[in-house]
Amino acid sequence: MKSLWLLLLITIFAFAGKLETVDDSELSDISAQGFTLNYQVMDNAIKNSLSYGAYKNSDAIRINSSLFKYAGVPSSLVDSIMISGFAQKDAFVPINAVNSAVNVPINIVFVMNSKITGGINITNQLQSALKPF
Amino acid sequence: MVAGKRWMISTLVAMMVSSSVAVAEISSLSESDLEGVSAQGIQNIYNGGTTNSQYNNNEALELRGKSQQKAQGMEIVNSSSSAINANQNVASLVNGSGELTQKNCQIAKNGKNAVQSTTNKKSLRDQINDNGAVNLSDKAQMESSASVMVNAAKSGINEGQNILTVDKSKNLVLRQKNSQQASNTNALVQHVASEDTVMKQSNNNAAVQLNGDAQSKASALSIDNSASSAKNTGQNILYATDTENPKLWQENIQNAKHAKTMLEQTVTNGENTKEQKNNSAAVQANDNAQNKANGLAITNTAYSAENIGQNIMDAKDVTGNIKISQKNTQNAYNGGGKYEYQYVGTAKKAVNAKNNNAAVQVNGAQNDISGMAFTNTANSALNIGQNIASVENAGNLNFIDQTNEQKAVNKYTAPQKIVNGSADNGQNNNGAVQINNAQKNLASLASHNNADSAVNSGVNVLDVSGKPTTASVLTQSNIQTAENCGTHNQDVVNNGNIEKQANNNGKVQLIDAQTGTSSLILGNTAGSAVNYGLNIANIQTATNWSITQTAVQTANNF
Repeated sequence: MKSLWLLLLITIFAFAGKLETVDDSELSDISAQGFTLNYQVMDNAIKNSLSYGAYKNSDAIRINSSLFKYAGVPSSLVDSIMISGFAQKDAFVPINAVNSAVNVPINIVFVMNSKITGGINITNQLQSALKPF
Repeated sequence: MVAGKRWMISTLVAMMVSSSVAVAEISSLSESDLEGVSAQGIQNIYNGGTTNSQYNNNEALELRGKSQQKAQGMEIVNSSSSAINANQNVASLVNGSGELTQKNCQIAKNGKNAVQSTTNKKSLRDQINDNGAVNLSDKAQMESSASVMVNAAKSGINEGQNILTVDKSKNLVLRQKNSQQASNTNALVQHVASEDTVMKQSNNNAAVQLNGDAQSKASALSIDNSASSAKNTGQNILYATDTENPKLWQENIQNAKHAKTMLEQTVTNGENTKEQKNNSAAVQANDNAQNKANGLAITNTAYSAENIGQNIMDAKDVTGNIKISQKNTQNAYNGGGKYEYQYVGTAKKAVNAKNNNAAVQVNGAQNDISGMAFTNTANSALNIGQNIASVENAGNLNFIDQTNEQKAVNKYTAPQKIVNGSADNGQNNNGAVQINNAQKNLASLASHNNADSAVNSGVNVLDVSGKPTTASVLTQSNIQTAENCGTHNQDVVNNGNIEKQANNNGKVQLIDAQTGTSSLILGNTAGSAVNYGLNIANIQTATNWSITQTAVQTANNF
């Protein structure tokens, strides 16, 4: 059910949209002449990006668990975090941090029917420091 | 769709049409302009007899009842003792060429102090004391809709939006830019002394408290509730169709500085208390508040420095050579000052007391909320940068760059002392995030609950679809530094019997919370330095591309 969770985002969010002309009569009680931004279209960007590739048709729980591992949350954090009952399910990258220094780099490239000649270059430079206990 | 219709109406108001070039608006407030904006407030309340239903607001913002319910407008701005710039540039371009720039230059400086002292000699029932606080209750702003909704107390706030649609144009250079500096400095002191019994009391000092149905089902590009904070929100939205050789630039340069001086809340109760909520430098959302609210940015901020930069672009049927640049450069500093101190002393029995110092506490609220960025931030430095681009049916994409450069620095000293005769069902949060039966089914690109933390959150998303593209260079990068330094010490003294008490010091506690969430990033952070950097590229039918994704992250927590 949650597999298309981003679609939810898409339907709810609405950014820029279609250009649409509104005539004067329609605007008479608004006292401004202009156009409407139809905040119901867009974001192919998010929708397409995250419903493709390995994640297509997979449900959110699987996305969740695989990336949770990838993000590599230190297990020692669990000592001071309490998650009880049915808390915190289905997020893509859930991170709970207490008294910690954490870097979470996530780089994802989906390429379909393409020829990449310049390479796919992914670089993570990470540094973290924590006060001694 | 009702929501859609609301949007249409709200965005119609005051929009303008530009047939060719240059829509720009520059607005800045100098210090002299602001001299009269934020005066020093001193409020003394003395109740010699019994008190029944009393609301005391000092340099505070309170909306109750049905105030602004179903309100609509481009901007809904409520300010108490704050410096606020809210600017919007909206333009449409058809059959154009040349250069078009939308730019907001905003400087908001806010300062001076607030001192509130309340004395209750006899028993009281239903009292609210707000000092430098935002308090929304009942049906306030429920189902309201606007491009920008701001409720601010004792804050420096910039809200900048550039919205542009382009059709049937060629050889365009389009720039959208928000250049924002927000600064805030003040001392806030609240003393509340009750000698007799207390039944239902909220004491908010430099805090955001949302109750009842406040802001439920509200929708806006930006919903911004801020108490004693420095905050910038910059949003660039661009929609281009049937355009040849466009150069598209979107940029937010944001600097939020909260130079703290002193924050102190002392609450002394000589007798029994029941249903007392004490919030200092805290965000507390209760009941149904912000349920089903939606917006690009929904941010509740107390005693913090926060930047939100969002660049959103959709280009369709573009030909020729394309250059796209989306960038957020953000600095958030929250530091300095003596301390953030909370003392709550109850001589006899405290029943259902909630004491939050530099904490985020959400009780039952913020369910089904959706926002590209959704934050509850207490005593923290936070940057959120989001670059989203969708390109469909393009010819040659020569150059696309998405960058977030973020630095968050947070320094704090947050002691909390609680003394009880006896207590039944008490919750004491210091430098903590506590989510109880709340934030269910929230949907967002980035959701953050932060207490005593420095957090950077950068998201770059590019989607290229449609016709084949050639010879292009894509770079996505998040360059982030988070520095967090401080102490949160909690001292709880129970002299008598205790029945159920939660003491959270520098802790994240979730109970039956955040279920069914659909967030790309979901972060709960207490006393930490955290960098989140996401680069996502989805490329179809591309030839001779080069793709580079970079994360440079430094997190120091001391």
